[in-house]
Amino acid sequence: MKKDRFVLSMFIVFILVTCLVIAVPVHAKLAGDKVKVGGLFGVSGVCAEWGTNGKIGTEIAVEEINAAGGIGGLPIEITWYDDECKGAPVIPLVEKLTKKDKVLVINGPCQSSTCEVAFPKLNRLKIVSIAFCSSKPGLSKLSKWGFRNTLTSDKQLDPAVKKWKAKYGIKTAVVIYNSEDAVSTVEGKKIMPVLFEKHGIKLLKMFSFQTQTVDFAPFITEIKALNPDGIGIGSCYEAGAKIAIEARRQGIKAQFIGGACNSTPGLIEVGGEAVEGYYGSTAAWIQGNPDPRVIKFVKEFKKRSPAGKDPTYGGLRAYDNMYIIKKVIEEEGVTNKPGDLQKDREKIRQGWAKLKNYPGISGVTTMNEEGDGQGGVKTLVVKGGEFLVK
Amino acid sequence: MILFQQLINGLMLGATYSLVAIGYTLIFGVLGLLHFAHGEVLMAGAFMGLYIILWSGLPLYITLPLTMIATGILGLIVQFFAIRPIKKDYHLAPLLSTIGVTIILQHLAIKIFGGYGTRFPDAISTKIYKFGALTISSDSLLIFGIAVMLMLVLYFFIAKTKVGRAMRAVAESHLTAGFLGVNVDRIVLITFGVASALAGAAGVLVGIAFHTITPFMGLTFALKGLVVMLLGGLGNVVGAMIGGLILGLAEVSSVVLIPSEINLQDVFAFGIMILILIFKPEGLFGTRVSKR
Repeated sequence: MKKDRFVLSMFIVFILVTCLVIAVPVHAKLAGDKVKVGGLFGVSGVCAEWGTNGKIGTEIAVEEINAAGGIGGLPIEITWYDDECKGAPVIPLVEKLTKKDKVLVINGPCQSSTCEVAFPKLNRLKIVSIAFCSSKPGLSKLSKWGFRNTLTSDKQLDPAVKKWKAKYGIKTAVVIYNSEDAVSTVEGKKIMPVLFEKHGIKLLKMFSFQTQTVDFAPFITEIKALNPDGIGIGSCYEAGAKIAIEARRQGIKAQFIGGACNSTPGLIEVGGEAVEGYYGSTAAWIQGNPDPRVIKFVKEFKKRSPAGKDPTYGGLRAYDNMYIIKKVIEEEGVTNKPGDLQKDREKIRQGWAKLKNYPGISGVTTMNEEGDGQGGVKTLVVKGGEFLVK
Repeated sequence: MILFQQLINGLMLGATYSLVAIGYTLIFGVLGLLHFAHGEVLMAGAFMGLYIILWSGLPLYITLPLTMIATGILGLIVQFFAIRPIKKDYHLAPLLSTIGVTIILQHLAIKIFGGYGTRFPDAISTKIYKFGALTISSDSLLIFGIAVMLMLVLYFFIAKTKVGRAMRAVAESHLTAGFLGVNVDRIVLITFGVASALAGAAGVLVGIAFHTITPFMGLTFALKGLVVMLLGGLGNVVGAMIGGLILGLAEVSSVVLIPSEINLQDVFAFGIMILILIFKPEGLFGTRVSKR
């Protein structure tokens, strides 16, 4: 009898332990001693503030993930490179990350000009690269290996233009854009003219400048003669701020709206009082967001950012990228064995392509059929020296 | 009225180009060397000016000479370590060395200041003067005034002083100048110091005029300075002064005259350079460089 009871209790213990093991999803430990991920960020050049944001966001995520046990039990090791926000350096860097550093996946690059160059090469290299702030429409179509965890500029600017017009009663406007930057050119030549027409704003004239243009005075003099109600600016934040300063210096009272690349603390830092009332957009709700994860991220970010600046949406999106990479690696059965490298990269690609409703700090992210992120967008306005959500 | 405003814009831009080109042409005149790092000395001057203002709060009339002294010393260091030790037999070697200095200075600046635009502090309070539709800001007037004053001082320095005469003698021939008792090495060093001091002043003025400075700004001004030097005539200081103003006006004209959706400012600048090289290779005002 005693023996029967002992066997029965052992059987119950066995069943309970088995249930416990099945109930707690422990992901299989990966092979090797680390998970290699590439980090491609333009921390110098025209998009430096965006690239720096992505780098800091990634660093925070990696530290958190590693402290919590890493991916499949292994710590993440990031191999960092600076693409200088230029198309030319990005190809050898992607090649190096793929072939020499043998990373599983690349977080980055940042801007559209670099994605435009890098994405077509991914078909040959067969490695996933995920941009975190590129917003020129159509770029993810260039390769099934290229993803962008962000919203394209047309989707960001539509509500912003509507609110800008309503706030200032804009009836006429001009557009000035950087003809050397991929997203700025599309914003200036295509997106803003279409949105202005859609919202009943008459486009008076378009002007273009170059990345190395230092003096905006002649453009502003021409714009002043047209006397527009508003000025649409397709450029990065530095040029946007300089245009605003020069416009105020020449006595222009027109209101500004900037493209996706404009909404960074750098715009306010450079532009000062001249950018008060400046409209923009963001692909992540940062200012005033009550989500404790966002509050915690912003606090940590400011400790690490130059001069304690607030993050742009690129910081939050790059942070989310790392957590999505972790989720995909763990759920898609990546082995991390050197012999399985190409199979693992393909599994990561499949995981990103079917990503749905990921609850990140930048919003709920779903990849559409092109490989672009979907999620919340907010309109921003500069008021009292900071961005406020409208 | 718009045209008059654009004329002012062109002169303001041109004055900064002139300051850069004068340094270029001084060095070219004396050494026959294209000092590619001259633009980076300008960039260094802009950052030095920025930090002098930020840390000490000193006014512009003190910041500017301090920056000029600092960049003058930087020029001497560049000459002493990167140009003087190089054998003159290898014609391209000094040029390549200055390209190396360019890369080193730019990357140092990226490391120290960050690779993005930094707002240049308002060194002077800005007042806007309105004459009908025409507006001129007090800072623009001051920048133009300082640039012209520095050019005039330099002109008289070269024309009237003993050192200036020695510079001209060295520009004609190192050998003859040496025979006449001129310490050629010392004059070369002084030339580098003076040219670099002017680049430092140009850096501060560019910061005030165009609001931001970046570690990448040097190359833009170096290339424009090169165009102006060719335009005015190699080694011709007066030519560089006038050439800068002409290029500034030409760039502004490109915005006014060419259909506005196409930006052709640089096409204008470098188109002018190619035309000069074809039709008047000695520059509009004649070269002052002897055949070595």
